[in-house]
Amino acid sequence: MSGAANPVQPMCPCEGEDPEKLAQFEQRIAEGVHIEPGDWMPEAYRQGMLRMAEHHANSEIIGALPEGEWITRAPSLRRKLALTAKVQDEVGHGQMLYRVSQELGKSRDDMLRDLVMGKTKYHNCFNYPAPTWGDIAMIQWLIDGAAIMNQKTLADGAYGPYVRTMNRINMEEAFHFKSGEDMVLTLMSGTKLQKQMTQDAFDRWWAVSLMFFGPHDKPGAETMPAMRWRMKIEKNDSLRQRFVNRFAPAAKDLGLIINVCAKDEHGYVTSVREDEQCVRDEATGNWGFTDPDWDEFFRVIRGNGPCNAHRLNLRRFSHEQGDWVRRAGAHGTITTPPAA
Amino acid sequence: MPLRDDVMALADDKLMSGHMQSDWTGLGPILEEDIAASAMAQDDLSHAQVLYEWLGGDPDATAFGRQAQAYRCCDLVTLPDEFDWAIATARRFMCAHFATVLLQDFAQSDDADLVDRAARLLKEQAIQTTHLNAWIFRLGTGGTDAHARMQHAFDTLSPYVGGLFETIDQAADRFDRWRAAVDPVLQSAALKIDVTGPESTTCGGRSGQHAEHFILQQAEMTQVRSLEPDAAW
Repeated sequence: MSGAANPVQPMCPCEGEDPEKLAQFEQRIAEGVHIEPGDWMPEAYRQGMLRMAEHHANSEIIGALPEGEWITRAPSLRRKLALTAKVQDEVGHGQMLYRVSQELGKSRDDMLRDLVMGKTKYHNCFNYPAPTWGDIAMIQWLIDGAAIMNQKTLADGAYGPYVRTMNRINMEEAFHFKSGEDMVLTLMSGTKLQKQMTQDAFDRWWAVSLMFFGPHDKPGAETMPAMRWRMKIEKNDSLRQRFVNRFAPAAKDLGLIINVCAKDEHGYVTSVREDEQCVRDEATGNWGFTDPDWDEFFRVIRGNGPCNAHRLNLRRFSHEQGDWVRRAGAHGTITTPPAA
Repeated sequence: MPLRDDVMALADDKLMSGHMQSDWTGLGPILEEDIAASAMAQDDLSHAQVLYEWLGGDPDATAFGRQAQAYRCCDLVTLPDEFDWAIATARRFMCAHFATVLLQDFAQSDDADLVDRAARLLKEQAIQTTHLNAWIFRLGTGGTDAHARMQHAFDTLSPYVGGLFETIDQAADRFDRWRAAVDPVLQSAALKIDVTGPESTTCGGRSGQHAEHFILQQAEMTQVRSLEPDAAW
């Protein structure tokens, strides 16, 4: 589901690297040649790509949890099947991205252990609650929509295995987005209760979607290694603006009101006022929006969000419960069982 | 109408099996097996839909709109697994072989539409049984701890096996065919089930006498839909 928005930390210059090899490496990237696992790469690049792919894989695995909780409550056979398949896709994305990460030098066991031990992060947006079916619609429409926007740019990156994985993931995400769009449209064409459920969910997820792309860019971001080496393609603020330009008019067309919301510590909305900045600037074509609460963003990323503990506890529980199965799978020589 | 009753029994088993197993999506012990098990849960939900269609009416209304006592799923399918992969796997293994026996018979019935549907479902069912046979073998032979967990799971579930055959037509013959399918796999993994025959006196899920856990599962399954039962979702 989630693009790895902004996990790439500014890296130190490539001290100690062979200047000639570094120059050739940067030349290849400038020429649009993909970097492959066996190619020479600066250590900072390998570490950065590993951090990025691992964070992305973790986000897929944790991202399966909020929606997974609603599979048993999906209101029709079609929705139940679609949601199960969708969550299954996210697990598959995690599997593919862990494969990419493994080639960069970290085992899957280590990555899954670091995730449940809280040593590595996943995307912030999954630390928010999804208390109604309307939230499931919003996750698939807004969060998957944001993920596609981000991941389409990442598919223009330089690291071959990650780029190929992005292309494959993006094809599946397009289905998820269509499913979410259909759910939102169905609910907003429905009863008063369904419309209110959708508006309430939109209020919970709009600001989270704006935060999805990460904090404001630092000056000179385009010359930092992350962008120079095409690990990151587009700046956070640019992606955010494109998202608002795409989704603000779509939300209004559906009859949704774009509100600025105050939330309590559980992620529930306590008060709303319509966002008066959310109008189209005729000169630039851009839609305005009120900046999300960045104090909240950093509070949640430090582990103090509404659902951080719940998500991680569930993942840890699942990891521990499955330990015996993994040990059994690795036990002895597997021979052919009797035919069915 | 034994055939219609048997189709309804299997359809409801499939619905609840898909319901129970789909809840594991994202929480399985190994990523690849999580994905595979979820695919089989989706198969089960789809099979329920295909069989409900044959029975007539709106499949969603059949799946979500009945009173609890109108469901014909057996207790083995709905018994909570308490997030225990051994229970979940052992249950799926036994239910998948039961479904195969019934689908084979549906594919030999006089109803051309049901024959077509059953033939289609049997292809996916064969993938399930092959996959589950392999996992029963793998876990049963996967070391002392895994074997003990699997044997405990079969011990826990064995009392409910008779319920699979409750109200089912030709129960004795079908039970024998079911044992002929599961026994070699269990023996290969040194696992045992303590089941002597179909329990003709059992009064359980197939008769609509559901345990409290099913009532809770049905309430959860219909929670969203019941907010606006007549609306599109």
